[in-house]
Amino acid sequence: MRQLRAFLHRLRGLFRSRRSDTDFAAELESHIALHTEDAIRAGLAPEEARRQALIRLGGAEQTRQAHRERRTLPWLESLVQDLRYALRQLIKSPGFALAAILTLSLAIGANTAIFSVVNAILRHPAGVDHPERVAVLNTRYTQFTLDFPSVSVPAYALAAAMKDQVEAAAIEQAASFNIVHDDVTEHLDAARVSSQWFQVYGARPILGRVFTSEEDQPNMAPVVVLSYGLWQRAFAGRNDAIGQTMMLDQKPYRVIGVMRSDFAWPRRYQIWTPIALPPAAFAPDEAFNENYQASVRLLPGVAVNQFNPALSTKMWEALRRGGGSRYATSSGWAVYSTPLTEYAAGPLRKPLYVLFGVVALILLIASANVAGLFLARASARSKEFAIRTALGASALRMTQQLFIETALLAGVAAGLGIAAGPVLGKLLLLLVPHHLAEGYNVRLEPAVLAFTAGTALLTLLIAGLGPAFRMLLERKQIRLHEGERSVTASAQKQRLRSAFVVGQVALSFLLLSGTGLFLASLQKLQRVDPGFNPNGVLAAKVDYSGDEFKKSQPRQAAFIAGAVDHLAAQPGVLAAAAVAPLVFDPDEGGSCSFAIAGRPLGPNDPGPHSQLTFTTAGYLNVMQIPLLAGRWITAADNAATVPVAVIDARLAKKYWPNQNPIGQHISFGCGHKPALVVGVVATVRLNSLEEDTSDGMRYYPFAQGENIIADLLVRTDGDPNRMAYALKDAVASVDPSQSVSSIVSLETLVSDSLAGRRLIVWMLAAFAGLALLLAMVGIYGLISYVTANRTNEIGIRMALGAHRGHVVRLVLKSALGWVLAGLSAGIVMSIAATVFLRHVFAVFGGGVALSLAAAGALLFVVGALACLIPAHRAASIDPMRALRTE
Amino acid sequence: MGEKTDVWQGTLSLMVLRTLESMGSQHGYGLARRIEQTSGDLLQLNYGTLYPALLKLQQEGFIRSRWGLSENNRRAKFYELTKTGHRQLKRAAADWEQTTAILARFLTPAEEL
Repeated sequence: MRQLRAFLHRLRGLFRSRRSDTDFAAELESHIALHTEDAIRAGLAPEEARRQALIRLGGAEQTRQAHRERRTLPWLESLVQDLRYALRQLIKSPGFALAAILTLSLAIGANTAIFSVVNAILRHPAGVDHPERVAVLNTRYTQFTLDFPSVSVPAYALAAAMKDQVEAAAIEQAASFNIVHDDVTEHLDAARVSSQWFQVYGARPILGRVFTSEEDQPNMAPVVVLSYGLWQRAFAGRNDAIGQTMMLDQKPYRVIGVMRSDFAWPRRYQIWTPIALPPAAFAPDEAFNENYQASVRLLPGVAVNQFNPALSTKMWEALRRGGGSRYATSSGWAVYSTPLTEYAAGPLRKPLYVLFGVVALILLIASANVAGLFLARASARSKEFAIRTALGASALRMTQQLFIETALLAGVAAGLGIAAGPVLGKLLLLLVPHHLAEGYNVRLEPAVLAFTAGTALLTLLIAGLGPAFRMLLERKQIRLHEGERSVTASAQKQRLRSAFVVGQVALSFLLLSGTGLFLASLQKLQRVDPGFNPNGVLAAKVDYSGDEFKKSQPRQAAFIAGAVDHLAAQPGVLAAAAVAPLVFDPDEGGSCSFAIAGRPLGPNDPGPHSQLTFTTAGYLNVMQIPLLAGRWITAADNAATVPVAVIDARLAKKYWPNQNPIGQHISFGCGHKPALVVGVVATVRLNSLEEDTSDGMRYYPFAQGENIIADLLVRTDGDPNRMAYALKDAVASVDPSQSVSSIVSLETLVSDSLAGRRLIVWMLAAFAGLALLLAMVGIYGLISYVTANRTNEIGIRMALGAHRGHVVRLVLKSALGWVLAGLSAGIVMSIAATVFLRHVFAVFGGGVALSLAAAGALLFVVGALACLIPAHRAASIDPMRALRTE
Repeated sequence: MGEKTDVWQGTLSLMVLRTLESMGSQHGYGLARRIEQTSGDLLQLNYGTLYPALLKLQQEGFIRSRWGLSENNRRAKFYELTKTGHRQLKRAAADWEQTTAILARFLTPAEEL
């Protein structure tokens, strides 16, 4: 308390220093007068009396100084002084200040932008409380090379029962509802969840409540929790929405709660209802039916890698008790958990980490550039520093001065970076395809602020240390004279600055060649043939609505047949078909074990396994997939005829090597009748141009199976997007109870599978351009400084008969020397980076030589360009004038 | 004991407070002289160190100052104790007494031996 009071007084003292100075001078004067009078009374002569008074005081100036130091905060005062001085210095050279601030704020802004995106996507998904404690359950079948983020009900139940590690557990299944709103049928993405769902994510409703465990039982009155967006749309944000009834798929649901606006998990879902699993779903024979997403909230202090071994032990105990361990062993089955943050980021993870590395490089380059600028200025100011040293300034004080100048710049740049970062971050998210970026909120958070402050501090250290270090080295020689005479030896003293330029060139080279490599790999991937022709095809997704419809195979078959016929009759349509699931749709896909008739399983054989899809007769024509043998599905294949299947070449080769699969019977495990294999088609890519993940494909006729979704496809000869209306119209006119939930062209789906790669290429290109510009500025600054210092030498050379060409060559030689040194360092780094990235990305590393050569050539040109003006200036030196200035 | 002693660190404040209590309002020079007299001229006070000490006490709120006229009609700055100053003096005096009492216990038996 007392100290605080004194501190505040001293702080105030800073601002009233002049008044206090005069006040104390008066007090001191009165002290001396009183003392002198006393001494005169004691018999001393007036002069001697005053001298004694001053001696006893210990000097008037010293006393004043001691008083001032007590009155204010000396360290703060010198800091303020330095700050003022630094500001004056910067204002005096606005070009330097502007260049430095611009460079730094670009770098810090870019870092803040990427970090705010990384923070939003990798570290803190919106609306989730303590995301590090949430884990998503996954299933893996090593034998089938399958690994997916869903589990079976029994596996979930076992994980949920681990009360010593799990705080809450929940299971989820996607659903969809149709809601009639102003006579228009609207489609809603919904999630059926178990009662602890919101507890797992730490999400609380802003209105009403969430489900109780009683409501999460079969045959209870249906209830819903709304998302904030739906509440706004359907109830205009009114509080009395709670307790009201909503008609979903023509069934009444009571609204019991509304979620906060930032919680939408699973992403983009608008409504949650209880999943109400029947007891049969928990039966042991459901152990390998992975149709559900499940997540757990771990107890505080439990890490995912502690939870996983316990989970595995528990799973195997249950399997041994309930049977099924034979299949689990032979298929390499395992259930494990991954942190939510890892799962949620999905395909954005790798690109984001690459970008994070890249902007860190940009920061390094920018810092090196600013350090170079400071060094140049320090050389220009060496006379000033020499004078100050001569006047008694300590090295510490001058270093402090330099650091404060850098800190001022870094501070301004950090401020600009903080302002620009999140805006840039939002722009960055716009570049990411919609389905990947949805549900992420980029905003200014304490972590982002801390990060920006950290980068600014790092910049400060890098950019400030070099010049300070140099100054400390030079301080030993007093160089008052150097500023007055031109000295050719300066080039050698620019060693530190040269090192910064070489470093810049090397880092720019790394970015440029990286851009080239990613571009080459992207081009290569874009040329990958997916096995079908996506151009000119538009797809409309229909999530079946209504329980009767979902369970009625005849109604589904009639709907599909009607819609496909309707579409085929439209003008401009070359072919129409239906399929489920659709390839390259990130939300769809499925695979299943099956059996081949007459082929018994060995003791450790999990049996055949492949992807499967339901489709119609027109599919091959829409997709332009070649038929290799036998026949394709026809309109005549229906519920009344023999069940048939078509397989692809991969499956045929895998299970019928050198045999004819046509005429064989296959069936999948879940009680379906065996289907007769009638044809073989070519293999297609499943979901990615980067990797071929297909285990082989089985095609079944739509008319012989039951589904919960369907994608209607049309191929046209023109712009496929023109068919959007026709697709919606086909659905509405054939069955008004169904609706289209999304429309997308196949070309977009295929191209989106490379979105992560494309993002890297765009960003890398932008950043490499920035780095190139910075390197050019760095080279230009250094070369023009050195050249200016060599005016005298060049003048002599020219007076002795050197041609302009010689002079230009002289200047170019030193600049290209730096570029060459930078390039050699850059090549080493690039090769190391390529080796590393090849482990991270499936298709990467083609065209190394070309990328390196192109990047090197570009840097050489830029280096030469940066020298042009200084070289020209040097060549135009008038020898007489140069010598006369000596 | 021929030499004059310097003022120990931290005790100057206590002396100032105590002197101000007994003398009432006083200016810096008068305070310095009085402190020397009280010590029986055993203390050698560097007058210059008195002023930062006064400033510190003022910043801590134990004393306040105002300009006034000295006995021989010279303008001088006078210092006086505040209410917290009185309290602080009591507390510091008690602390100091305790410290010296403890030290005395250590020193006395050593002399007896």
